Amino acid sequence: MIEKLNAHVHSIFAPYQNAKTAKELEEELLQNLIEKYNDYKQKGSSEQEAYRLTVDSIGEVSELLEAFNLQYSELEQAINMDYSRQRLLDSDFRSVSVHDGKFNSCDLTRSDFSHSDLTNSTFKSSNLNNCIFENVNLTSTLFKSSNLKGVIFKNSNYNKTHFKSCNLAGLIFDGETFNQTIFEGSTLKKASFRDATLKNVQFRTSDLKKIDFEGASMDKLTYNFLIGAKVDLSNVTIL
Amino acid sequence: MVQRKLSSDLLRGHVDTMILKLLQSGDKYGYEISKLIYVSSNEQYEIKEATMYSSLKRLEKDECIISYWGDATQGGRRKYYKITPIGEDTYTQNKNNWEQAKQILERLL
Repeated sequence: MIEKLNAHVHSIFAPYQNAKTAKELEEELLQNLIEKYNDYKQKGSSEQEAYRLTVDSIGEVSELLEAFNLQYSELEQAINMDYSRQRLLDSDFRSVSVHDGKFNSCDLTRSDFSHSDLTNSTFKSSNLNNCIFENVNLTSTLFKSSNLKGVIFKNSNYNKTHFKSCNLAGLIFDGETFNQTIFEGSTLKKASFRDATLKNVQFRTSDLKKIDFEGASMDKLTYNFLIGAKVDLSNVTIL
Repeated sequence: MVQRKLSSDLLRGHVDTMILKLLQSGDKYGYEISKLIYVSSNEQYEIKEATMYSSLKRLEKDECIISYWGDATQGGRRKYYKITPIGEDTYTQNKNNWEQAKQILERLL
């Protein structure tokens, strides 16, 4: 029955799994309901009866979603936010949604952007030293003249992401998937793209010395770009 | 049934104040709050989880309360709510408003 309760609560929150607030509310609600269910049983209800009473006590699901939307919308308000010219060292941007955000001339050293949505955001002339971008949506995000030294990129979405005049030396993009990503005038010295997948990726006038594509897969367009730049593509699969 | 629904709607408007009052005697977690509301109302009012959480999240947003995770007990961890000075003020204000409204309603109804 507890399993059934768990499944029921989970189904309410299933569409909102990206939001940290929803996950926390789910955990909290489930904990309450399990205690309530046990209390009903202790007072003599059958398992079925206790389950029914417990589920009934949730009330209107719409009201519940409103409850977490209150917090969620607070994060959503970050849309179009301008964080420019700020010192935001060690900031926590986890799970936030910042469409069209502006992070220009910021010091964002060691900030964590994991699980965030940065669609259409711009990072111009900013310091992103040792930032973390895990599971981030970087669709059409622009990084221009920024320092990305020591940045961790993992499981992110690089659809049309544009890196212009950035220092990406030594960064590890192993196993990542790139689609229409543009690397322009950037340093990619010793960067690693092992086992990565690259489609329609452009490397315009970038420093590609000792770049590593071991085991990577790429389409012909990307391959031709790189061959022209005399990059070693001996262990690359052409898609 | 219609009558019960009505009284629950009337009560619902004061859930924020009920919760603030309960938190004055110490930090509490969700199920504890709903149990206390049930018992203190002489088993007349059973608050729905959804109603309680929309109130808790609203109060948290308005900085009337803050929340923190407690240690894990048997099964899982509980999130506790604590009233803030802003919450204390809001409670006093709401309580006064209610006293006023009660007088007016008693004359009018």
